[in-house]
Amino acid sequence: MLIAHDNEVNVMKKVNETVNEPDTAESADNALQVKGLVASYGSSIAVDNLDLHIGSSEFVTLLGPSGCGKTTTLRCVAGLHTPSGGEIRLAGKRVYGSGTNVPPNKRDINMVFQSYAVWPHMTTYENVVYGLKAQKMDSSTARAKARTMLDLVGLGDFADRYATDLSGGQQQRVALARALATEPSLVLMDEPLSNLDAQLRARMRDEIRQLQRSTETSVLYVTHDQSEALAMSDRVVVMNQGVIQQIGDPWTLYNRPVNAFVATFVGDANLVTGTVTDVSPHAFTVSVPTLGEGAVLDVVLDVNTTPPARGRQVTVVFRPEWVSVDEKVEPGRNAIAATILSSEFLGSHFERSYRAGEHTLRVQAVTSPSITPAQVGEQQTLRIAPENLTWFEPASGDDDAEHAAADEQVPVSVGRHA
Amino acid sequence: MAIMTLEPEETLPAEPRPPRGGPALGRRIMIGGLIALLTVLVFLPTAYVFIGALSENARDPIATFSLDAIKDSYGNWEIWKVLGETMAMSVLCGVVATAIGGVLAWVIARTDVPFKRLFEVVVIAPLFLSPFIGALAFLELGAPRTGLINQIARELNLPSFISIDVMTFQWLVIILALHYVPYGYLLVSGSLQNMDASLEEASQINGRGTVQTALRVTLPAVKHAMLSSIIFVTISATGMFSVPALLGAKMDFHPLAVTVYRATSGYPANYALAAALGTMLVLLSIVGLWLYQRGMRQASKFVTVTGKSRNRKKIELGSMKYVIVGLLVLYALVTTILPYAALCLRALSTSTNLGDIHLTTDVISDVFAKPELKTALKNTIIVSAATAILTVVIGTFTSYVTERMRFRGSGLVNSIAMAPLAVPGIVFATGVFAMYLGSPLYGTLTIMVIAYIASYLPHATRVTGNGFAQIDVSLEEASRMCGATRTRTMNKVLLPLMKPSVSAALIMVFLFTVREINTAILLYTPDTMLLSILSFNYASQASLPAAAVVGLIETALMIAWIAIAMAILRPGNLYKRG
Repeated sequence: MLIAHDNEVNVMKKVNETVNEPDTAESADNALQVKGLVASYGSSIAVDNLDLHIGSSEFVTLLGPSGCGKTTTLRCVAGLHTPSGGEIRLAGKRVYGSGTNVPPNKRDINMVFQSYAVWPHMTTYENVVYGLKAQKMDSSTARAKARTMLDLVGLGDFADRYATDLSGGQQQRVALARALATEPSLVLMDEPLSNLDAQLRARMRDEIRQLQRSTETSVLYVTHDQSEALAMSDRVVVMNQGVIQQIGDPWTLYNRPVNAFVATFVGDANLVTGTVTDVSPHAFTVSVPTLGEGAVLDVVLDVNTTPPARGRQVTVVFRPEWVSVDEKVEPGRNAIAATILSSEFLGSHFERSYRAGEHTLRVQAVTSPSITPAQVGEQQTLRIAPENLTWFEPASGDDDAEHAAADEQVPVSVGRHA
Repeated sequence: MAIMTLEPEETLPAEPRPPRGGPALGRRIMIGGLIALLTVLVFLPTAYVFIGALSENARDPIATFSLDAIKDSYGNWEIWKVLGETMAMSVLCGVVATAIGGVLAWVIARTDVPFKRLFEVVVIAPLFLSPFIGALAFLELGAPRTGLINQIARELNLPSFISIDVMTFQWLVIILALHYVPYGYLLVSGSLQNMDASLEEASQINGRGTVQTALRVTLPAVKHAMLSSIIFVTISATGMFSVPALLGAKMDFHPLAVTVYRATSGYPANYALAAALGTMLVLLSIVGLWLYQRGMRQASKFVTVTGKSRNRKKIELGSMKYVIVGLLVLYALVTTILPYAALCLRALSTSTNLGDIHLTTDVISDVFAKPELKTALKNTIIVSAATAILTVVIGTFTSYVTERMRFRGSGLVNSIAMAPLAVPGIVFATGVFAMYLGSPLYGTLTIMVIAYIASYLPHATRVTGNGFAQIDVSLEEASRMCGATRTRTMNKVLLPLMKPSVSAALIMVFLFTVREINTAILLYTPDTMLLSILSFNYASQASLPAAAVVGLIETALMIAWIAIAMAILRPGNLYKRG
């Protein structure tokens, strides 16, 4: 059964309008501007020529597998790692580049650490007031400010407790209150939720987002968890091997990935490569013989996108939940004959893999109680609506990733496991 | 109580620690200062041992170059025999002390033996007794004719095997080994406590009993700790001169350290020979450390220990409990209660003939009346306070620079700071002696402090280094992120968190310095008399009651230092992070 996407399509149009603003404004309302950042450890390059900007009150996430350079980027912005090239500006002021390298304590930032880094020899209150005292704020103002922050994170009653007496979630809140108390122009968060259990993580996700909105703080967030990135961010920067793969709002990243890495890292995806056989102003047709003899997919073009030339190779992407399973429809355009290889019942739906031609396709099949579920080995028809399909032309660099996906015939899904 | 381990620095996984930004100048000054400091304190005296071995006058080595000392040491078959016997003695000590310490550690960490806290104190109690004073006490107890035990045995007509003679090789090994048991205990119990309980639980579920599990799973996992204990004790016992000098006085066997001492105390003093013999000890230690490193590499695959520690089920001893408590009481009796009782008896009675004991304070008041006691007490207080404070300051500085400012060569700097471990105290003293001979520092308390600092720098560096390693870097980074300067971060975050390990290092160095003889014996003059030397001299002059009194004063001073350090620093518990 097909999941309706009408409202998402509307959202897409709205989001696209806001996202298409220019990236280059050098105005002071940019909380962070990074240009051509290069960072290395010894001889290995961790971050290669990275450009990034964060608007004021914006929540931007660096997403990528471990070792992709996201934490290094964050530490460069913090001043805890010295880059080997490029420029970093905070609120318009240069903190790194052209001979300047402002020490971390002189940068107008604060940070939430993966380990929380709550000082165990200080009380909750002392932790929060620490940065305010370092700013030489007069003590009564500092005291009031720290109390307000503790109330804001719901730890007002725990002010005199030692940090070691608090639970993980509470320590996390102390770290948040401490980082927000100094009212920095940018708060850095380095995988702050990765040490919490799943339930608490979901709740803290929500709390951090609300705190960020209510305090209008700009945030640069680092995570390897794609659902965290999608749920929290205004914009997500997907990185791999020190290079930015795609920048966009969560909707665009999920529904319109620009390469195989983004497609498979941000959620599960089926990738099939074929040849463009026909092009019209609003759609084009791809022949994918690897999906079975005569398999043909129509793809509807988004507004303002140029279609690929006839005869070009394109990779067509569809998510498991975009596929609907139909036994009555005959295979044809956007309807592929496939055999069930495995089926897992997860309550709300079946997670299935199907064999179609040379590919193994991942499908989320939603069924109702009145329908007898299909068994492994049964043949079914998979339908994918032309307006749901997305595509990209494989760049030379993508070949490896794509071949790997095709060889294994299982969509690569990295980063699902938190 | 924290102690040092010989384990090589733990290599951190994958992610390289990023070099730190910030003012490069301050960084360079700190690193340069540390290297200069270590060169003067550690490297030069060690180098002077070798220079001294090759010249008649170490201050003018080229003009007085001579291979005589080398010929008399390396070229002397007698010396090689002594070396072999020394090794036999110290390796035996290492093995015995580690075996006893390991078994005690296992019993206390794994079984339901009662009075656990009390027995833990009992096991490490010998740390507070200077090995020399301990040997003195054993002499009171087990000297061939006059020993108290032998007197009692004679009096009660007990069979002759009860009678003991501590002035023999085997008793020398036993007495030294008993002194080192706490080291074996602390090293192995640390490793046992860190071991993941599930490793042993898995073995039991797979059908192995208590003994099989202990031998097949626990032992391999703590093998590296036992190895480091054996090597540490062996090296330390090789350099030990006071105990063999006392107990071995009537034996043919004189360990190398005693031979070194004799070379310097004879007339004319042959410092070149002492230095040449010293180089043999240094080279032996280096071989030992090299073997240890090799062993570590092979043992490292067994090191499956993780930070996990949860409540594990204690092994139920059942009726074995009484046997084990009995053995622990015997241990307490032999290592602590009887020696102190013997010392007190000696101090409070003019005679230790059983039929002739009259309690009196005459001996004590006699000793207190002697002017040299006052000098020695004052000097010991000054030297131990100065050494403890300076060593811990320099050790903390060293471990901060090597742990926190990773730079090219930080491993080498760390090894230099650890090097005195491989140089026995008496040998190091010959180097210090050669280096400062003729300088105004010679014959002052300062030179002793300088020598002591180098000797105990490895201990202080290791203990504070472990302290730094336990403090996550992000705790400091968080402070910088909050806008605090490096200095403020140091004062408000790092030092408060370091308090437990700094206190432990301070107390340890206090204890070591108060009872130190091996280094001081070459460097003291009548003006710079110390309590430890005084008791040694009294004992060599056969005035054992006076030696006993001084020994008791020494112990009292150690306890006073611990109490003062605890009261001022309030180390509390290590801050555990959730």
